[in-house]
Amino acid sequence: MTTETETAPRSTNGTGEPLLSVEDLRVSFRTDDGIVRAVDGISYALEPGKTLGIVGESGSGKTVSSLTTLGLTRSKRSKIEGRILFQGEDMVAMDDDHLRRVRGDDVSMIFQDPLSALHPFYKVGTQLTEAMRAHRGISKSAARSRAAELLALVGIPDPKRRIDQYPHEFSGGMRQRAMIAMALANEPKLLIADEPTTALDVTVQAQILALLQDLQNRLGTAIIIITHDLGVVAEIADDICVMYAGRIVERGSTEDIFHSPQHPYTWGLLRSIPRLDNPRGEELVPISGRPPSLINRPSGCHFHPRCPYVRDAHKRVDPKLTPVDGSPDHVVACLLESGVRSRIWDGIQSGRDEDSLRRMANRSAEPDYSDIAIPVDKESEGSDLSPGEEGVVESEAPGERHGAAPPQTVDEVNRRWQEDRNPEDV
Amino acid sequence: MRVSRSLIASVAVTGLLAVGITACGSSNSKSSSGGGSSSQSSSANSSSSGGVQSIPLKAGENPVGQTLTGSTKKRGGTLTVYSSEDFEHLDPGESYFTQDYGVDYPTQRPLFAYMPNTANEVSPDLATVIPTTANGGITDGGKTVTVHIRSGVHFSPPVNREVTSADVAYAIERAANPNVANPYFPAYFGAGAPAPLQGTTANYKGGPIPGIQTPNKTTIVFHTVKPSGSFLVSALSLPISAPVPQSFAGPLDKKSPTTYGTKYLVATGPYMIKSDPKTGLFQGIGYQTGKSLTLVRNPNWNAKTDFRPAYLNQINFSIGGDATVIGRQVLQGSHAVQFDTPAQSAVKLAYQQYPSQITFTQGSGDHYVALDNAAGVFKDVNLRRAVWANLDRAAIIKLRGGSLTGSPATHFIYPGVTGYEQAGGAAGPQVPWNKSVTGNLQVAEQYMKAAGYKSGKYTGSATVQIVGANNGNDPAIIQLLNSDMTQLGFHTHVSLVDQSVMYAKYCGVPKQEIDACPTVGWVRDFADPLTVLYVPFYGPAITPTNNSNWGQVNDPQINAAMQKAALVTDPTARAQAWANIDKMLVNQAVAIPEDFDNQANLESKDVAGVNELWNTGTWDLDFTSLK
Amino acid sequence: MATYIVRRILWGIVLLLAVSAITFIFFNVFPSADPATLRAGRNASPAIIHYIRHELGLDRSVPVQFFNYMKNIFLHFNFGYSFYTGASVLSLIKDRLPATISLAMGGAIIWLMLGIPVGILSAIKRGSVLDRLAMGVALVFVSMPVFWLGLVVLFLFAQDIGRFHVLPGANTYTGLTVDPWKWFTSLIMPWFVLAATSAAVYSRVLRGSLIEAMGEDYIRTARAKGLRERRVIFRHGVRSAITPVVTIFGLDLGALLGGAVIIETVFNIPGIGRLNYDAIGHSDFPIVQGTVILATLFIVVANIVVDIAYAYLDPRVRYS
Repeated sequence: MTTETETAPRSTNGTGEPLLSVEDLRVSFRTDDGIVRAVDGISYALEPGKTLGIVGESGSGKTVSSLTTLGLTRSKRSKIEGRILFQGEDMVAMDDDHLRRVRGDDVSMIFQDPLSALHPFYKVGTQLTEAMRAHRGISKSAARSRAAELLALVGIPDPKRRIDQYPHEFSGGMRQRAMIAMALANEPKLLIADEPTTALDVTVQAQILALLQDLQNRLGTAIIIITHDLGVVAEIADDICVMYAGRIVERGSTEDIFHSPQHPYTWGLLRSIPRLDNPRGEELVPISGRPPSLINRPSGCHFHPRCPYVRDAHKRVDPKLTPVDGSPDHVVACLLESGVRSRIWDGIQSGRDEDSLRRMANRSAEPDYSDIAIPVDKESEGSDLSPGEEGVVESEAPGERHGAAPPQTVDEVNRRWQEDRNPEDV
Repeated sequence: MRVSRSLIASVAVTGLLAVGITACGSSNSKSSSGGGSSSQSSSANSSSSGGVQSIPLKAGENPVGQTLTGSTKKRGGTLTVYSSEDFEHLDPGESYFTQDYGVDYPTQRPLFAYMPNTANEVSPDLATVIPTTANGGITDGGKTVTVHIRSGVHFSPPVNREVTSADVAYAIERAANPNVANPYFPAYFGAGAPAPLQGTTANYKGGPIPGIQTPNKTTIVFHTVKPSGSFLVSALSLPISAPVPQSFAGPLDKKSPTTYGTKYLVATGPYMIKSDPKTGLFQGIGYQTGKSLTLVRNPNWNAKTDFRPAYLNQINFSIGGDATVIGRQVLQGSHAVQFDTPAQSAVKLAYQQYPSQITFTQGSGDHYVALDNAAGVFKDVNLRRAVWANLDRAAIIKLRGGSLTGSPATHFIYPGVTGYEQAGGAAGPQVPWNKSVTGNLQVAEQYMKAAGYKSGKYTGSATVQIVGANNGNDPAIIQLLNSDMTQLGFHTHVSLVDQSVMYAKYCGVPKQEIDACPTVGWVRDFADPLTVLYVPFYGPAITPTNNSNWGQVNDPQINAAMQKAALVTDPTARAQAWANIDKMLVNQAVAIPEDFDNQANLESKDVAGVNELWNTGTWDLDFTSLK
Repeated sequence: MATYIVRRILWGIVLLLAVSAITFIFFNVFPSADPATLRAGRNASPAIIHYIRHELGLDRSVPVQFFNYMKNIFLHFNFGYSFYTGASVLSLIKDRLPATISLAMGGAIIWLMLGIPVGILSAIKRGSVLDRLAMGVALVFVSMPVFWLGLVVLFLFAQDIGRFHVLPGANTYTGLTVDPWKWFTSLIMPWFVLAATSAAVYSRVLRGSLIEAMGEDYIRTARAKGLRERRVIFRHGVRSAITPVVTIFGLDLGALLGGAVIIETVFNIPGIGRLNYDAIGHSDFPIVQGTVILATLFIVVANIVVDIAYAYLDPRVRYS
């Protein structure tokens, strides 16, 4: 396994000191079944006022990494290593009380389902004023009027009436706006949004994303958006990290990721975004297989069981993040050669079918890894996945024809990525 | 008469079988000897002045080994009386319950009453002497009884005035008023009595009775339609004859039910229920229903007119609670007694750790198996004899809790009632089916054969209906009877129900034709063998509901004998006459006697308690003192 | 909210009427004994029984009797008179009610004071030695028969029969207005016995409910807001977790006000429970009917109060 620690990378538009700098963060949990390595050495940076998108499926560690920033993963059973520097202070080493004061004040977080994330028994206004008065010594009435202001800020009409209503009296979209308002109550420097639009329908999604952008412009808040849907971050993120199995497998600016994605997993994500300009009847291509167990991860490249372009060596060697030719801030962890990858991506874009893509992958010269000493990965014992056999597409939908992917709707695609919560993915 | 419910249902004293049988047996047998030899001889010694009667006591004679009276007794103090049962009626005209009597006699003075250490001898109370033929109290062949009452007896506040004969007359007359509804008036004084008072008819509902006359303030004369003599005298020892002032109670008796006894009351005895001196209201003052009763001294009581010493100053009743707790509170506490039947664990505790604080009183009643004489299989006398012969009565005693709770019954008049010895005493009439208290199958089979079943076992098709109570030890006893019956080949069907339902719905309703009621019991009303045998076994006493002649016994010979015996006035002859009837009942096996009951009573270590032998051993509050 | 309350009250009245009817049917159509003969005594003449039956109104047709009965209760608040003593049932109930209320309220306060903190602590320190110990003890008390516990407590601590003469024993209850100190000390043991079993149940319920609540999303939000942990636990966790406890509490208290027969008997407290129990033994129907209706009234009221409290606690319920 990789043992080198990575230094804090610079973001693509690096101008000054990053607001948040995550350095080789590792988070693991002790469970009855074994040690879950939810986050296994990730690093990224975020400048003030910028937006970072962290994309991955459930079990990728995307949420855990952000919760850890706020110290919400601290417990008897968790082990956190690495550094999270926020405005220069290391949040990992910070004591509980200091951390608590940062939470909700300088760094705040919003969550996926605003109906369950807001307390059903308290009025929205009360929950807002509570957020304020936990950090500032303002009077109740001042807090109340500020709460109304905040609701107006996030675009909720008739805010003075709304602050005395309960969460269940709001619509889904309005609830999320209210959560955002609550998160912004103390003018945080960083807002972490964990799947903010997943529980909403598509039109509302767009509104919320637009709102976030608007707020960022007005307030200068840096935003981290965590999502499984690349489409969500396409508009608003400056940089994107793609996470898989607790690691970042590709990181770069939004342009880089969308125009020249390097990692097969990223390709899979891109191909599963429904696009209006795709020909009608063209099938979406899901990524076969399921997310790996974070207790017993696959050997070598953790993605290898699901990678259509896997080669023998990939099962033994664990790739590191290396820069892409020509874009030093765009890094990827894949053993395929740069050229091979470009060809495959071009092939994907021009609509080639899977078999020809794979032939393309196999035809290129394979690097000779025979002189590299291969450390045996202890954790690869008993991997619970059978590696995808070449040439066979594993499919999960029942009753489909062998060799072809079944038609799926956007919802099904989304749902696939929204697996039931694993214990690893808190 | 009703005893504490738990007595009829029987108290178990398990585990005491082997312990101390001889010790208790001897003391009990001493008291039973009083039954046969008692007579009205005490009346010969009484003076006819208005002063206190000195009852000739043999020194120290007392079932609990204590002297009843004397200057060594401690005067004063407060006694606490615990009972988990509440009183039924505090109106002496309505009381028919042993616990009620425990309060009636200290507070009211009927014409005649009992000293605590006798089960049979009445003493004059309000009356000056016991009327006899010899002293001219009983005349006209027994149809007229003249009673002289003492002067100097006063009612408690607010009535205050002296008691007159008119008050006694009113007391008896009001008993028939439906608002008062005395339960035994019809049986002993009214139209249903063997010797009814003149002028009482079946429709009589209260009002002056021609048969009661009051020629002057201290004389009351009773005229009965048939000779009654000393029977009427004994009957007048019931609380019904305690004087009631008409001016005070009359208006109250118009309410339904009367409020005399539920709200207002006056007393003539040494004690009274604490009440408002201006109105006589005691409800809420001296009596909280279901909670407490307080007896205080009657300020108008004149000790010189009464045989009662009345040592205690105050008596506080505490009603309700758990019997186990009460038992301990009495045994381990101070200045307390228990009035109702103690719990099994308390009796055991007392017997093992506080033996001087528990008394067992014989003659507390009996139990028997009522067999339907009028319909069904047991119409046949030989079948009745057979079942009797086979019944293991000793085992029933064990089931009830051992020899301390009683002894096997061999006839129907039980110890303490006159006629007991004449009827055979402990062994009873020696007829073949009565000889073995553990049951004898061969004898039983002989009678089966006599009934026509040559094999000695029942081969008929009828099913024997058995109904019994489902509480206490009754189910086990019923099981025993059941198995003894099935041993003889009978097919049985057993129903266990709540005790009151057993009486009210099944065994007390002739139409139900229940073949056997194995756990019925009886306690006499007063010291006359009639009260033990008459109502349960007299044919004309059968009623369509609420029947107490559970076996519907209607033997013409027995009926005639009872009619005759009811009118015998000489006490000795009377005892013999009823003893003969007892023998006839045994001969006809009208029912199967099971046990003669003993009653246990508890007292604290610093109480010199005295038991009322005539009232199932209830503590006599007039004679009890503190130590 | 107001219409909700009014609607619940109206249903409550309907329920009371129904229960009155049912108890009437049970006691008059399927009686275990005839009240007239009970009153008249054994061997009473038929004429007297007939007279008494007429006086008691038992010779009228059943519907007429029922109508009179209901009219008396709901219009005149007259519950009739005891067959046994002739005392007015209402006066008996009024006399006994304070004792039952004292017992119920005092016990309820104690079991809440015991059960709720233990439940919260156990939930917060889930799995710890304290938690296991507390739940173990709770399990023991839940399993104990109340009667047995009452006797044990008496045999240990009663001044008259106990091993250690500490507290007033059975039968020492006095009214609050009569002797406040004695009232208080005489109720300590009964309160404890009452509270012990209930506190155990409540602590277990609250523990489960709080553990569940603390796993909800809004707890994570609260922590993310930077609230102090104590505030998170109490204002966010317990606030949610307490609703099932409130529901049970209301119903428990309502039932208890109908009379805690066992405790009242063991400690000889003159309350409604014992009044009812004694009356049943005597087949004293008017009292039994009166206490049953009273108990129903308490439970109906408790139900209504609980519903309203629940709506107050959980705003989502209000508009359904």
